[in-house]
Amino acid sequence: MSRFDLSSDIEFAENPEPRCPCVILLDTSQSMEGERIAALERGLVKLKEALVEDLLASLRVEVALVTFASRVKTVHRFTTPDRLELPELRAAGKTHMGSAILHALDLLEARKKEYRDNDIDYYRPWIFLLTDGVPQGEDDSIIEEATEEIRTLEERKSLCFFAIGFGEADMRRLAKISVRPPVALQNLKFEELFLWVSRSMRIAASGNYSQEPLPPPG
Amino acid sequence: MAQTRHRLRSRGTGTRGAREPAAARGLLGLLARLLGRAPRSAGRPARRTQRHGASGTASHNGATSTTPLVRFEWEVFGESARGTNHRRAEEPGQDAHHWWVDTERNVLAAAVADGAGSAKLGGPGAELAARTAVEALSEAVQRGATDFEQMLRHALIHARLALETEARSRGCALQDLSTTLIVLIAEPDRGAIAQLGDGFAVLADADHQPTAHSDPQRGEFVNETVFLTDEDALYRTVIRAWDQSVHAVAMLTDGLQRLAMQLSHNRPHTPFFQSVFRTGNLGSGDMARQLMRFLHSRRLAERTDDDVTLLVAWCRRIPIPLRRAPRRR
Repeated sequence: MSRFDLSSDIEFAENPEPRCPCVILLDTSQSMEGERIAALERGLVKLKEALVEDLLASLRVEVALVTFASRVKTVHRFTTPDRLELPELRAAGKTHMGSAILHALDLLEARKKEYRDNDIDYYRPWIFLLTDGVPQGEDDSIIEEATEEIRTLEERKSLCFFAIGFGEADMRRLAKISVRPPVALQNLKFEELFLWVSRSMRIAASGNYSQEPLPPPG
Repeated sequence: MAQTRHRLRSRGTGTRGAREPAAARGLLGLLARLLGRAPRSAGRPARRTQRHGASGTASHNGATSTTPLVRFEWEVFGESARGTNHRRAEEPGQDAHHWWVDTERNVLAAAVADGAGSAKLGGPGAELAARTAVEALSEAVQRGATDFEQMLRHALIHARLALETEARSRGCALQDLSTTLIVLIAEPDRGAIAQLGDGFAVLADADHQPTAHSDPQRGEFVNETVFLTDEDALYRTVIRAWDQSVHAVAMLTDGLQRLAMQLSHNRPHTPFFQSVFRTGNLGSGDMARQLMRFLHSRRLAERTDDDVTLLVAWCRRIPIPLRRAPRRR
């Protein structure tokens, strides 16, 4: 089954390199307002710069950006770093973390299908979840379902999921969601964080195998 | 792990390729074709292709009873080029290949192996596996064995045992030596290939038309595959046999896959293989030079950062002039 999609056909014809898809989940709940969101935006700029700099990463890494608050929104579909247009982020609402994770998994499944339809190889996908809070405003069953999905996929080595907490983030709660130990980010050092993300992605996308990620900072 | 697990044990399944150009035209047609071509330098392989065993230069009366006027010669080219990812890190390559030709019986044995990038000693593992498999085949041929499938199975068992012994003597885990392995044994009019892991084997007919003859075992993600060091490796081996004339065979590791194959259909890219097989029309020196230039080219490095191995063997059919005694010794 292949549907007619000229843009994706051209995209994959132009660049038949294998892809390493990565979803970054950005908490944009009310508590993010002010310095936090500004720091996050600066961090994303660094991420883009670092990925574009690296020849293989610029061809192989594909980043999708998803914000979550009271609703979950894909603010940028999967693209190689050079085409990544960084959005302006606005903080408001609650923290629908579970829905965001499930949405990211859906995005990854859909993207992998596009890869397969277009004869494009791919690496194990990644999700980075950045939050300053706890799941809030959604049914507990949603975060449970998301947790279960992450666990299954990590066990199958079909996903690398990282939770990064800062501000008032509940690290113990994050440790229950993520199989890998969550990363506690001090002093909103997003630039450092995204340099680690980009280094991990560069290694992932330069190898011949789906690699284990670098140890996180801090 | 979401890996595909083929348990096929096919014999000659799906072998569409490499037919004799219309059997009805018979020997004379074949001879005319061969004579009509530019004279070849009769299979003296380039020095660098003589890595292992005999080199297919000696002549012998054609072994099959139907072709008394043709003698066969295998000409082999093999090269493993280190990928840019290893060059950058100044690491040795992790691909290996070996081959051997029995000039009396016109038998070719060959192997290509791709050491796992994730394994510490993937390179030595690949080298050992390829060498052991070819040695096992050559011994079997010299013993007079003729059951190709069984010989291939034994070759894989030998290769696996060699890795186990090596792991013990190095004091490392067997998985540190992880490698894929494709092993081929062929005579001019029949052959078989055993495959474990990814990589490709392609057969060519007289017009250089390529046909895939491999079953790459791939997982969901890039380069996820099965290895000779896996617990159930020998059960996963896929063997494919054929019993028609083949004019050339090519074996390659997956570093060349994006250039050489349409992955989702496991079909060879015809232009790629036609150019490769056509180099066989050149003298062996030019052939080797062209293929070496390609394998070490910047253009190739731009398309893949992985090691690449290409092993090509041409089965020459060399007419024997009627007035000369067919046996020279």
